[in-house]
Amino acid sequence: MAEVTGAPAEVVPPQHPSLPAWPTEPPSVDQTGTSHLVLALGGGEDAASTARSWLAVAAAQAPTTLGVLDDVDDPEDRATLLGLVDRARTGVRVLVVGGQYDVMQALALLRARGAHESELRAFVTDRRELPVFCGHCQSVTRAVVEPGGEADCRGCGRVLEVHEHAAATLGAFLASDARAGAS
Amino acid sequence: MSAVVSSTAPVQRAEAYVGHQHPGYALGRRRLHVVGLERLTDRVLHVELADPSGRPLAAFQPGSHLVVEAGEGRRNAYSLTGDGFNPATYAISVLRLDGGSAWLHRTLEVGGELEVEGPRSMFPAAHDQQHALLVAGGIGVTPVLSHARAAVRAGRSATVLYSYRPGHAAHLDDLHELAGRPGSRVRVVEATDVKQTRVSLTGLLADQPFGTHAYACGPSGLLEAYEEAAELAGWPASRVHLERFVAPELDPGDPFTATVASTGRRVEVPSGTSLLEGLLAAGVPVGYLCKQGVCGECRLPVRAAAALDHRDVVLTAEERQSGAHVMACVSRGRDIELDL
Repeated sequence: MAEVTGAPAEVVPPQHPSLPAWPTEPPSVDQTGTSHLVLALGGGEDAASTARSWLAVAAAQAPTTLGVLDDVDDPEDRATLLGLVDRARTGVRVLVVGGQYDVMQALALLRARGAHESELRAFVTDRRELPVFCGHCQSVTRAVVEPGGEADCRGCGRVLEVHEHAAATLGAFLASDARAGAS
Repeated sequence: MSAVVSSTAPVQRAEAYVGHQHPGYALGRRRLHVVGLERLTDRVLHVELADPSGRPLAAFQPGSHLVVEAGEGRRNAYSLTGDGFNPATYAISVLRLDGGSAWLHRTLEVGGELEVEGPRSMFPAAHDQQHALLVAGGIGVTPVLSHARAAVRAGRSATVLYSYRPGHAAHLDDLHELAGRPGSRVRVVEATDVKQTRVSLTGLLADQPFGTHAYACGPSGLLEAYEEAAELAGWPASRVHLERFVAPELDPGDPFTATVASTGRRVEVPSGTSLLEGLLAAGVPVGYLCKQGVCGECRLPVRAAAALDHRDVVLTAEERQSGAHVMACVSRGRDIELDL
């Protein structure tokens, strides 16, 4: 009779992390655009200086609009952002700079408005804060956490495990109950 | 007449899973009744077709085409003008040229039958489309009308540029009717000469909302002007769609060898003979339709090739780059090993 040594080992399928690959330097302005929209998010000095240098290059080439937003979650700032997108014409190139949370959320909003990857360029000045998407209550939490770490969901209070998977459409890292199955 | 009915019954597509498709759902070769004929201009005949037993027809994506028999073994592809949603009839508009279209103009009568195949979708709307810019030149209005109707049904907005010669504006009234419906978000712009068309193209491409996709169908001159204007207006290629109905003239090309991977059979293709003709002559079965590099029917998988000269208008730049497929009717190359 075989000896029972405990529960069978958990079978973990091969993991394929999908993490954003941010450039180490601000990307250049796409000169094929016929107008530009520069978005500086979060109010930091790094973001402002990148936005300024983009603005100088872009404005010399084509009509350029600058949007400076403190907080993409603030309803007024969000309305401003949507207004800028609504006024933009096809042919525009969008340059986004700010902290990782704000950049990912802004890019998701732009994609939802039909942006193609070739029209978007982004630079992240600070990776401390992640957008964390709760798979249970579907809210997005701004959290200081690394992929693989844990964060408290602002929507349902669950402790979430942040998976190594950033969803472009959601503009957030997928996360699920870190305590699931625990009694 | 039961014998006739059984021989004209729709052929169910040989698919493992047909889902919840209705009993009339069929895409294979079958005969439909001609239930309406209307002369739109002196050269354009509008044809309405219905299932002989009154069943609904297979739905289709806007911009799809129907392949119809066109006499003496010819089969032509015509864009469907409906929006594709739960159709009771299929409608096409046939411009009379030589060959198949003249046969259709001559032969079709209400109450008669016509063999069709499809619909096939080669010119669909993009799923992320926020607005559509639809550009039609001449009889290229047919898929544009389909897209405009689909936009209206979905409550979406569209701007239509219709370039035509005065007196030859098939479906212009249909476009105006769409634009004039209460709450319609369709706008129609007309151009009646080359200069006006260019000016309108430039103006419209410079002022479309973010997230617009553009679609054009018409003669090659119009399509070239359209692609050029779109690039100048900064549109990424992923937003610029077109359907050609006239293929460019091609030179006879150099002779080359093609190998059928499964059998090792070598087929010599002389100058002036297409890969398709060479394969068919050697008894290799290949499906084909337009023989102009337009329809995509004769796409063959390529295992290896010393060189590929893509001369079709079907494959995208990335698909050409990858070299995984070749359109046998027009494209050539050197030492092509076909994955057949």
